[in-house]
Amino acid sequence: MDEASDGRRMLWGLVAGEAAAVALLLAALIRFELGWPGVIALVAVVAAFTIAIVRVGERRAVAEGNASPAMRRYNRRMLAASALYVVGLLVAIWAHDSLALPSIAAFLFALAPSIGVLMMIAAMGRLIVEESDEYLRHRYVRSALFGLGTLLTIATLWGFFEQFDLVPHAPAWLAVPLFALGLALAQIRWGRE
Amino acid sequence: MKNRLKVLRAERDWSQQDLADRLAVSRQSVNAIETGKYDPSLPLAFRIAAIFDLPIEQIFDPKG
Repeated sequence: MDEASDGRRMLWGLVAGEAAAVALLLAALIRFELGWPGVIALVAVVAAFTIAIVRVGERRAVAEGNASPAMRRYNRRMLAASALYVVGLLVAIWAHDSLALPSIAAFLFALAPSIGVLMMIAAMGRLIVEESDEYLRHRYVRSALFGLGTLLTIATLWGFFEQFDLVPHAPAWLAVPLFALGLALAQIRWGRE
Repeated sequence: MKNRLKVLRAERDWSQQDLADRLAVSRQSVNAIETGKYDPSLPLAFRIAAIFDLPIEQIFDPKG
């Protein structure tokens, strides 16, 4: 078993472990009404798994010969943006549920989780600008286009289904997670070429 | 586009990583170019030609 295969197996193991841990914690959160301590425990578990996944992913990239300084900076920026997003989201949820907000305060609290997501979008842009390896850049751009296609396809279908009352309303903030899902699927598909 | 990278590397006893280090690109880039999955840009093709001290057309075959 070579180092790259080990890295792949470990990566998939961590992803499966994170999914199982999140499912268990979510079930416990709802079943036992754990409230904010439960939410914080969930965030801590997700953060620990995410950092481990990034580290293993970077080791795998080195073993497979596609590591780059730009990708390393991208990973750091995404981790920082994700941390800010989680803090912003928790603050926004708390404010939404606990405070009677005047419109200007509502605007600021609604902006709080957006800042982390906007930083993620900026990090994706910086990666394309900073990646000096033209093949890795080509692969990332192709994956990003696949992510965009995924988002446009789902948004178009969902929008018309919603118009005909066939599906419930979907919030617009789902755009980035759907784009990221398409990007991730494309990177899994093309990442080993 | 076909190319002679693998042969040229073998003649010099270079691994893909050796060539990647000389070109300052990733090993996967060398692999993708070598196997014809990716055609390099003109600047990268010139860098490859310079490293092997050959004209571009003796490394890459546009008819391939």
